[in-house]
Amino acid sequence: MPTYRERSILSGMTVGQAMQKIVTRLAPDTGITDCIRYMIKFKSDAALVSHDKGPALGVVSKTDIMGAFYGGLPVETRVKDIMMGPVRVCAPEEGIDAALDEMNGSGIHQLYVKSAKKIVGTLEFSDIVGLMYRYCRNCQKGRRRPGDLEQENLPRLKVTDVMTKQVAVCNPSHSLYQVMDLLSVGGIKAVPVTGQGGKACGIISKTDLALAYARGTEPKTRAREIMNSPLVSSGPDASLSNAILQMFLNDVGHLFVLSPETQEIIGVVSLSDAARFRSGTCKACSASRIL
Amino acid sequence: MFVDTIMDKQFTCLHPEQTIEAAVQAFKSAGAEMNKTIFGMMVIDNRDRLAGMVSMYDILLCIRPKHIRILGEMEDIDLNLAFEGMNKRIRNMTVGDLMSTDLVTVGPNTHLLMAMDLMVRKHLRRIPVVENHRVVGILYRGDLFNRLMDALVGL
Repeated sequence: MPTYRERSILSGMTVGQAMQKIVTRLAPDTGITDCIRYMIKFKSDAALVSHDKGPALGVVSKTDIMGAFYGGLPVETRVKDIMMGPVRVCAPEEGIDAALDEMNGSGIHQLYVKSAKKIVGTLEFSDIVGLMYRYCRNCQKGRRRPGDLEQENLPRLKVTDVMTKQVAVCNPSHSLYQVMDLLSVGGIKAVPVTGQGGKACGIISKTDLALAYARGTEPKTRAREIMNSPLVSSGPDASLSNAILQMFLNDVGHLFVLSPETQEIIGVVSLSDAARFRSGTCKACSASRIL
Repeated sequence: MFVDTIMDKQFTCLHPEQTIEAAVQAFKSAGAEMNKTIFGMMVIDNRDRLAGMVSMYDILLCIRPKHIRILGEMEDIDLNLAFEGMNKRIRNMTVGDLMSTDLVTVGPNTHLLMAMDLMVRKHLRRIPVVENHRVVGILYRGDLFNRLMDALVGL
């Protein structure tokens, strides 16, 4: 029976090399408002719940915060009452591809790194995307050779080549309940708001919802009251490079694609997708399994 | 050997509604006035009670571009372009949005060794000195260090 060894550009790189040592910890009695404040400050979608230097008791994520908002829990609720377990961990010596498998398998975007019974760091999805970008460009095993990059159309990839066409949207009169339904069903982080004729007029992200909750906004409020505008967008023929630049300038992770004639939303590009295409990740490599 | 002998009794405070830009200006002016580099300040509310603290670290965390790790790997992207977004954040965010609220404080009669222990264990560079719910001073790690060294080796 032939032996099959999975090939990945990221093999050989360990979690310890890629992880960040910042760990956002919250005491179990921290209120939701302070938890939201921490998440915004550290630009993190999750926080570890533990007593000072004690063992990890659970994880609180923006999804849990939204659940609390949806369920009408008062904003003074303690994180210990909404946290989820178990805390998903990996070891510093583990390979990055194993960590990636764990994230994909559990549908999460962040792992905690545990060594000698203590949490020593975090490994976020964006850390891996960045690394993959770096290594794939120089990979000798891929279909594309480093010299090909200049001749290939790669630098001239357009947004339309990369975008995902299914985009969940909501309208300005939807309640935040409906917006939260869309976010959880789609497993997405933000949903655009479209008005008459499907024209994009704003966007609502998990962070916006968390902020609304912290400020005492009720979930029956309409989307138009809390949406952010304008939406960061571009036309389908814009170059991928330009799209990445736009995301950078606006500090967002997604760019929506608008039809030049009707201004309707026809697709979405995420920074991870853009990095994957630009790096020349080949399908043969398990690193391309990144969402 | 007590906190009240080396704390700064003269200090500037911030208010929660001030923008980060105003806070940084305050750091600079206070620094010039006290002839020290000031990288953090206490925040008091409208009842003159300690509400929180804003430090250089809090501000750096706030202006950090979220996706810098992915974007930083792309050699042809000019990272200087991130400054526009960072500028917006400095002007729009307020002290109240960023301040740390779970603060460690000491009293004027706390022994310096206790204060030192707190600073080391919790990585603090400054500790508010509070008496009867009022802020009476601020203790800086540098000043504590100098005082202890003085007593130990007569420097």
